[in-house]
Amino acid sequence: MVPNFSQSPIASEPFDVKTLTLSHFPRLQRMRAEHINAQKTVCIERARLVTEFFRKEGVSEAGMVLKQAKALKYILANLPVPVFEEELLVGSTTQHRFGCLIFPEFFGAAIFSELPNLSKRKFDPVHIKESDIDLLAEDIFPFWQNDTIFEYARKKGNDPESLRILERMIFYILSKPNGISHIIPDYSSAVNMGLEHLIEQARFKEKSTVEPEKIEFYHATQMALRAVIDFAERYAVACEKKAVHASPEREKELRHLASVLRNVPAKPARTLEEALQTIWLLHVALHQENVNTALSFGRLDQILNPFYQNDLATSKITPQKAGELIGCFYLKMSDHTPLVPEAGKDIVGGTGTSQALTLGGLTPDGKDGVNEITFLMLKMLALLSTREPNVTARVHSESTPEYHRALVEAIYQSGAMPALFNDDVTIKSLTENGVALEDARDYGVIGCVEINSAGRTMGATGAIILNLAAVLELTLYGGVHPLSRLKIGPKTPSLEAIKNFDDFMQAFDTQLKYLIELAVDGNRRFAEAHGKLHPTPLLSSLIQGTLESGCDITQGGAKYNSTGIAIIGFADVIDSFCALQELVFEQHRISKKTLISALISNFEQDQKTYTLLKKQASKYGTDHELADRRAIEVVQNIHQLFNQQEHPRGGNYTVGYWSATMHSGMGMLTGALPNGKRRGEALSSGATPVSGVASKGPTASLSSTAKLPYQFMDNGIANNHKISRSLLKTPGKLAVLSQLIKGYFKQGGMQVQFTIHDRETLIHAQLNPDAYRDLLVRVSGYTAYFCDLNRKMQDEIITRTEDHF
Amino acid sequence: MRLFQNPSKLQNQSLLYLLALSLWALFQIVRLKEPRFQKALKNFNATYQLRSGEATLKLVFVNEKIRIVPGRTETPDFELIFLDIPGTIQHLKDYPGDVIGLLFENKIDKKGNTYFLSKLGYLLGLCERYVREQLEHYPALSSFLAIDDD
Repeated sequence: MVPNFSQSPIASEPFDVKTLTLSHFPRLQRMRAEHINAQKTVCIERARLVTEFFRKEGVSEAGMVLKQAKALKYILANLPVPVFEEELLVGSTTQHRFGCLIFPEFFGAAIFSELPNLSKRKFDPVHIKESDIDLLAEDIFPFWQNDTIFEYARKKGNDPESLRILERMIFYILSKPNGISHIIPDYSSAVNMGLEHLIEQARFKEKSTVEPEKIEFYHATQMALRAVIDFAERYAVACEKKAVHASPEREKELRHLASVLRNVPAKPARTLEEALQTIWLLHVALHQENVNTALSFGRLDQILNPFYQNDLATSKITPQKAGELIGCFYLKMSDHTPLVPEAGKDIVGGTGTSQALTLGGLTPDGKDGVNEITFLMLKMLALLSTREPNVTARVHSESTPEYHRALVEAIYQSGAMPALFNDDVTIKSLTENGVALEDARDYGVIGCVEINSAGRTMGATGAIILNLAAVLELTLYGGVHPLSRLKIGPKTPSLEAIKNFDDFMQAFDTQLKYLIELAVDGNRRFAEAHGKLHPTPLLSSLIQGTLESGCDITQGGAKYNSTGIAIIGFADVIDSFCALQELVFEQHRISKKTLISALISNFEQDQKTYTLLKKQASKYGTDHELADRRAIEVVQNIHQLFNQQEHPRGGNYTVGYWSATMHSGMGMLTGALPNGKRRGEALSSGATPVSGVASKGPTASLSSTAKLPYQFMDNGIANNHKISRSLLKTPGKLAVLSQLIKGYFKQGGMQVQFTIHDRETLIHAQLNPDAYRDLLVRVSGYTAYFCDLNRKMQDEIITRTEDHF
Repeated sequence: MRLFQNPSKLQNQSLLYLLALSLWALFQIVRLKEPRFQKALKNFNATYQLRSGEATLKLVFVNEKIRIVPGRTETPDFELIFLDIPGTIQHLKDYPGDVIGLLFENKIDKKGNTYFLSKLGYLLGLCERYVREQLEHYPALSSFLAIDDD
């Protein structure tokens, strides 16, 4: 979308950004403190309203696109519209300063059993009103019991194996029962054209077709977009009401906000402030339609810079005021968080909403897109250091020294952000999987670290999370999972009956193929359920391709369609392969019987075998030829196996190597492995080598990861590195870090992210959480507050390999 | 608890009945005392089939009452299969409302709509809350009820 104003890309840092500190933003200081100390509270308004609506209208497959639009209209017409003190942008995801939404039509009822004690539970207590408990228990959850996405798919498939396996969480997790998520809307269109223009486009299309389904879709999108305009008007009125009793200064702000809301999002934005308000209000509205997980912002610096430049040129803004607005925007993103059930705390505990924001990188026509807003957004990120947004910065071979310096300074200051993506391989990763070059250059990061062409892809990037270590275990034990005793795989020979390593890999492939087929089957069923029961007209209206296709994104209307996979336990499996090949099959230093016995006993009765496995086999992450070759083969094989499967929306499968906190949770469900991992220990995170094995230092570790073939990792990777803050305090070390990153990217590395804290700090934070509420770390994908993580995940971060240079 | 870590067939059956009876007794007490529990039973009619090995019985919710009925039915609303009764009891002792965690930890298997599992968990959660509130009201009770795990 061509912006209104001429863009002036500036690769050098603006003169005053470096000097900004949080003391320049007293309002943000107060708002940030309020956020950090805010009590998490359940908000059932959305759940109540959607239930009221569907109680009257009924849940059925017929006419659901239009019904969902009507439901959204009903919700937005009746949702509370709180305007909080001091905010410069309005729109609240819930009625609380810091709230949790409930989606009863998705997985909302997972919290049902905990409702009576939710505010008293030991881990992650959440406040809930007594009357809300009653409404959820007596009305909302019972209403939806037969009409959730999961139950629809289960009943329709007559309790299929793929869904029964899913419920164990050991082998794979499928995220679609929890809603449509992990996507970047085309905010640029909304900001630059206004919603009235989008409505007009849809109206024209509606009149130009005779196909009933397309007519319904276009009608639904118009209704949904109009509902957002009306929602803005409700906020305008709320601002005016609040202005009556406000101080003179605040009254001025509120009346100004009302005037802003009477222009946007209906009309094109005219200023930076209006652009931010458009995006934020749409974001709030989208969260009333779909689950608040990984709805990401895309390349906001590209969208916002023209407005900023025009505001500067017409003296409407100063860099400091712009920084304040951006800070308010960041803090708005933190106004909601997922409601995680007790059972999920080991899998996704401590997670935020992973709303990713992408900075820098190449423009669609191949120029450097870094601009003044890029630097300002980086600076505000470092100053505020909150969990949201989950920021990634794109880097390429021509990125300027100033940009590189700003990146490492932001990483150092915040302790965790931004993550860094290498355009030079990431763009190729997308083009080699069917994305046009201009669109690939316009990629944004989603959720944790996934990559899609922004605003035009229904990528479902978190759809399938596959535990590769479980596949290994099925192979070792002939199709039986050792901890659960589940016989789910085909009957391949157990380890003792396998003659050589090639036969072992064949058995592994057989098990892997079977699990992939099951996971794909389950995902397809949920995709179908969404298409029938829960189309998303508002989100669809903001994804390129749907206007032309006349089709909801859940039914394949987007320009690009794919389904994203994340692989868990990658490095543990590679190291286990090396151990099996070298120590068992080739050198015969460990017999197969001894190995199995050692694994079953969790090495408790065989320290010798444990030491051999830990110390004598090749490891991924040491720049070792065998281990790295094995890693490359596995990455290629997994991608190919997935893409042999049919895709529900006619697209392809994208595979990534990131794990959020699931490597810790799934590690608890995994037994001892041939690389020396003990039962219950966390698996390796993302594409990172196993903690403690990168004995040759960060250069070798990065070299191993850089060799992974990018064309088979088109759902992104998380390469986690930890460096002590004390090391980086030493003069010159930040520059060394910058060189390390450049070297890694030059070798072909796709992504890297850092946690910058001393081990002692992390241990202290573990013991005294109240003193470290806002300590940020990088899990394996998103950023988290360290003290929100469960104990096992905290331990995993503490014991991560620490890079020294 | 150590006594039941590898239960025989007879022990299995006994454990199942013991578990069901304990649940039933707990539910009866809380039903009498806790209005929210009473509301939870209103309009809730469901048959849970509880199974452990070959032992089967039904926990039936009907007309705001709860009954244990021996034997099996071909068409329960929900079937709860216990793979590890001692483990289940221990888990529920630590996390009374966390019935979904029982699935992840392979303590139970299930057939049917997960809503029923969540509903059962909700009833257990109400019981936990009731007990907790009683212990807060009567601290002496908590010393009286303290049991060593081993």
